[in-house]
Amino acid sequence: MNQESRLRAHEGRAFEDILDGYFPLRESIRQMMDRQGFSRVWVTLQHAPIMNLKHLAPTDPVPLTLPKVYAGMIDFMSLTATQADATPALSGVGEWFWVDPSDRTALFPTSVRLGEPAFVRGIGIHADDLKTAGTRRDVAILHASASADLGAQVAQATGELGWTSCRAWGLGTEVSGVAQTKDIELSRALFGQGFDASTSPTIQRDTSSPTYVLLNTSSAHLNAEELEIALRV
Amino acid sequence: MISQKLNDQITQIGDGTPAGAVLRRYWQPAALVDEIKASNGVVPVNLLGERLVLVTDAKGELILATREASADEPAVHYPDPASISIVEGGPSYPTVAKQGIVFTYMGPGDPPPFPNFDCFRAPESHVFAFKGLWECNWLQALEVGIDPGHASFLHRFLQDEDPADSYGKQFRDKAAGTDMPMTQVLREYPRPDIEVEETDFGLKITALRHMTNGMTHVRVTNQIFPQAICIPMSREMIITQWHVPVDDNNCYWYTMFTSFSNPVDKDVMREQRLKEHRLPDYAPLKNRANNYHYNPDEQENLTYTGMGLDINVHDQWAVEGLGRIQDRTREHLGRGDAAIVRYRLLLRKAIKAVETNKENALLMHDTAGVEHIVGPLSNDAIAVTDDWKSASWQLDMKRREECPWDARV
Repeated sequence: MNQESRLRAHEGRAFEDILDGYFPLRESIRQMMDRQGFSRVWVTLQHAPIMNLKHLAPTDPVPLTLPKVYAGMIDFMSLTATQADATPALSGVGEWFWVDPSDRTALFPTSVRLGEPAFVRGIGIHADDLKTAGTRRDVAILHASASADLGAQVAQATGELGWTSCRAWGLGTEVSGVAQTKDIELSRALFGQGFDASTSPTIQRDTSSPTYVLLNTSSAHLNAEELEIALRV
Repeated sequence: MISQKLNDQITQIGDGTPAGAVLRRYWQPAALVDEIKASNGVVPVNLLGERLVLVTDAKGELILATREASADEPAVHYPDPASISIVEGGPSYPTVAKQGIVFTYMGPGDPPPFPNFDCFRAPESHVFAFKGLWECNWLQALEVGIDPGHASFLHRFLQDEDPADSYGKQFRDKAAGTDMPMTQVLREYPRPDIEVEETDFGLKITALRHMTNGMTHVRVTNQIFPQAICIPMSREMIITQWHVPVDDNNCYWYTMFTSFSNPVDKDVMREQRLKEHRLPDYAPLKNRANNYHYNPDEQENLTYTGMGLDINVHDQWAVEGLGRIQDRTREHLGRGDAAIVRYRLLLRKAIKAVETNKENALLMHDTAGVEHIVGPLSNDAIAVTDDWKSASWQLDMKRREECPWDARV
């Protein structure tokens, strides 16, 4: 197994933005990725009102008034979106509720729209990633071994990348779509925990290698504004 | 476009409601010190849905006690102080008088400390307080104040007044460091870029109006959690304004006008505002019943609203026009409403923190750190576009260095 596939650095950055409301969530995220110039993002939403207008086609406008039975709220959602084609694929976990509890589903329905614009923080990989030699790479993807100490692996990867510290995100398991947090085994999940670099021996990935996003938080590499956002995300 | 249930969650303030529980964990303006002087020390107070009276207790301390009230008493009712009876054994709340406003704490446990904002640090001679009634829910009253875009339309003046006549008036001075009247800036550059940053006290809201000559007008305003704003009024003064619920359908704005240079001419400030309000309830003389004195000729020639030169009336019309409680099932916010979006996130986080007994997570509830919260920066500046951030900061520093009282941050 080669080292590059275990750990790869990318051009990217931490960011803050506001997702437009009223579109299906993945369309709002697609627009945001396009605006920011990202091909892949990890984003976190909190306390975002939602609506599930089941009779509407994805391109239909929203009605003037929201019937209460279609309303709900995302308490927390952490997800990745990859822009492979016109519509990004979303996967992640979250906690959300509906005014009408019978609307509960195991996976977050793709038809759900934000009820108002939502503030998000996240990490993005640039769409033109790796096309320019010598550019700074402050985001990395780590395929960690599922059977070895996770913290040691992230710390070791941080050192390999030449960073002094990082923050890391990853569910520790493969999730298809956006699942309820309580339905997913999250014992190896990371939601922005910080790690310092170490020089311990490299732990190789194994056959089931969950993916983690690493964000450079080395003060020697980032300017004050970049570092502030990286620590806030 | 949120459900009625979610709208109720962020607007209703009665005892036991989610937003009411958040507001009760912060000091609330209850009355003006002017009111105590005018009523021989007994002031009826209608606050957060409760019928109260401000009195001096046996220990000589000013307290807010529950008063007898009939169930059908109007929401904003000022009974004759001589007729007020206190409910024996009813809730009573501690008070603190600061800079012309009596604050009260109606929540559980110990009240949080006051932050060291400019309005609280300035000497009494440099702060003037006033209040006014708006017949609508507190949240929509607050939200107009944190929308930097509205000033270019709602407060549009078609002619510029001589800034020398601007004392005590909002948006009538020149932008700092320039000869350009604020009314001209707002009129000619109506679509600002809006940046919002979360702070120790709430939100810092920056509106950038990019001008034609490589310059940018920078206006920094603030949301102070849970329901205040701090905004520039002129080069000399800032406004710190709380939107305080009487009940779900009415609120008072309480404002401290703080001067960074000369003592405030309180007689002029009071006289200007008493011309627009009646006593004892501080209800505005221009209101829904008289169509806010709307004048189509004025609208054609002088102001966007045709409702006079007092911008408070413009805001009052805008927020009362939404109905007593804005129907947010019909609302369509955009990304230009960034500050409103960010504020609602803060409010919903706070509601969650209270519901889950994580009150230490509430802004300004870290008792060790609150007194170190100073400022906030609140000004208008015109700067070279590439340097707007430092220009705004330097202008603030200059004003603070020249200030006769200790305004250092």
